Amino acid sequence: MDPASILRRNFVNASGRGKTALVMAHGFGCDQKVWRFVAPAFEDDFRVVRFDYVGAGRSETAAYDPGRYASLEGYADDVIEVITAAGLREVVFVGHSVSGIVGVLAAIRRPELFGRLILVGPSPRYLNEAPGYVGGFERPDIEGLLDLMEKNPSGWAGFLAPIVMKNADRPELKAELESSFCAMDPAVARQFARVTFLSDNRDDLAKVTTPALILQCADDSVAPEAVGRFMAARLAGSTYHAMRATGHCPHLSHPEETIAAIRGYLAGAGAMPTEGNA
Amino acid sequence: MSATSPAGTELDAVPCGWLRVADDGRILATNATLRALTGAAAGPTQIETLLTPASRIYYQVSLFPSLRLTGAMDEIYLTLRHADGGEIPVLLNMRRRADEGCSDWAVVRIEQRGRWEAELLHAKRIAEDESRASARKSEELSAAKQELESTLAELKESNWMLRKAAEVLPTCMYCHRVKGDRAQWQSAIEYLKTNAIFLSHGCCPDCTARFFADFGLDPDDKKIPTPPG
Repeated sequence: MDPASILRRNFVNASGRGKTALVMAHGFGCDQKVWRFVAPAFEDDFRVVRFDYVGAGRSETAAYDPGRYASLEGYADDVIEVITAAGLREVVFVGHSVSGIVGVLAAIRRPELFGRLILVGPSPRYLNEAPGYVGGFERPDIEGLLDLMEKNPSGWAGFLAPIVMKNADRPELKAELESSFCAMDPAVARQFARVTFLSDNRDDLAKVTTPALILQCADDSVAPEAVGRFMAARLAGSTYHAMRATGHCPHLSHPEETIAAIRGYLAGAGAMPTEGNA
Repeated sequence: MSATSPAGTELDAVPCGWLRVADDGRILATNATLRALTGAAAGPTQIETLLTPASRIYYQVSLFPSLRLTGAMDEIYLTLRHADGGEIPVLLNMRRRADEGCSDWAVVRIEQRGRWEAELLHAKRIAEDESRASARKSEELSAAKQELESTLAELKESNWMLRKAAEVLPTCMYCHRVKGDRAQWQSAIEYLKTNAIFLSHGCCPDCTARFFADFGLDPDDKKIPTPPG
């Protein structure tokens, strides 16, 4: 696939100045718009690259191949292809939630593409595993999630978004577009949910050579603190940062603290070349 | 802020549950209907205590991001957790109060409708399975049809060649030219060439004897001279 097709397929958007690229990857359940409160803060010092996984947001859903995306490796393919197509190397990869693990998998396969991994609320395994691993959920909980998704089928609206976009002269349609933000084809969402919440990537953590920052929220019911600690213990050369922010989406609920945490880590990481940065 | 309704009795009497939830998940206030529905105490607590594990994930990964970005979510299906451990299926309308960094939720229990929808969903899944199966069958049929069509084309071609071979060909009894296409007299070789008969070159034993006797060559030897005229 040629670079232009990949950039189109994943609806890749780049902004900002700087020699180093900050590649921001959304988690399950939403799309690249979740970075809107955090991304602008880095545009003076970094090339900020945002994208949608195939099947999410405004990616080309027709490119969704259930075989390729049957495991998180397929999503790691997306990350590697986006970085390569954009002609980037040694990027700072910021991945929220499941994208933390996707970034880990991509960095294991192509370490030369990654300078730093910043993992926001990552979890290598959402299910509890005896003995001693508390992921936070049991299998019926995940089945319950799939059931909830099926009973909230508004995701179909997402397919209308590109059409609605063209109706600039009909502002009343904008509200409809906005409300289809985190829309996804229900079948795609269902498979992505399964892959996300049933994968077990605990054994992959030891294979990572890229330095990583783990941003752990307080009272995160999706990726509890014990899981963040587990990540930090298994990732060699990782930094664990406990946030005051609560919940699972600090980039949405506490953008300032999230920006400061990322900035602080990158400033401390002397090896990061940030041209244009005072 | 107290964790009860700020408007006191009026909001408490509204026939739907109401709660105000901060962006960071703290429940800032509830009304009496919600507390009766969920068995929740009036004290401050996190929204997670009211949600089943599945609903917690759904809220964190999908509802909260959407609400934060769009400011409003309507007709959201969720299961709340009753203080006694039971599950309560509900529909939610949510409005964010951007200035205050929180949102108001209106909660309506849908126990009976939920059962009805579950039955519908079950029927839908069966129908989808059947539709997938019939799509597979239709694909197989179309592949078989294609194969049939290509076999038919081959047969037509063979048939045409057989017809040609079976034609009565008028031949001049003196020069042996034939009356071929468009009633033109032409050499038999020319006729055969233009009528899709594949010809190869060789030399029969009689001609070998006649033309190559002086050279002492084997007729199969590749260096035989070009046949005369």
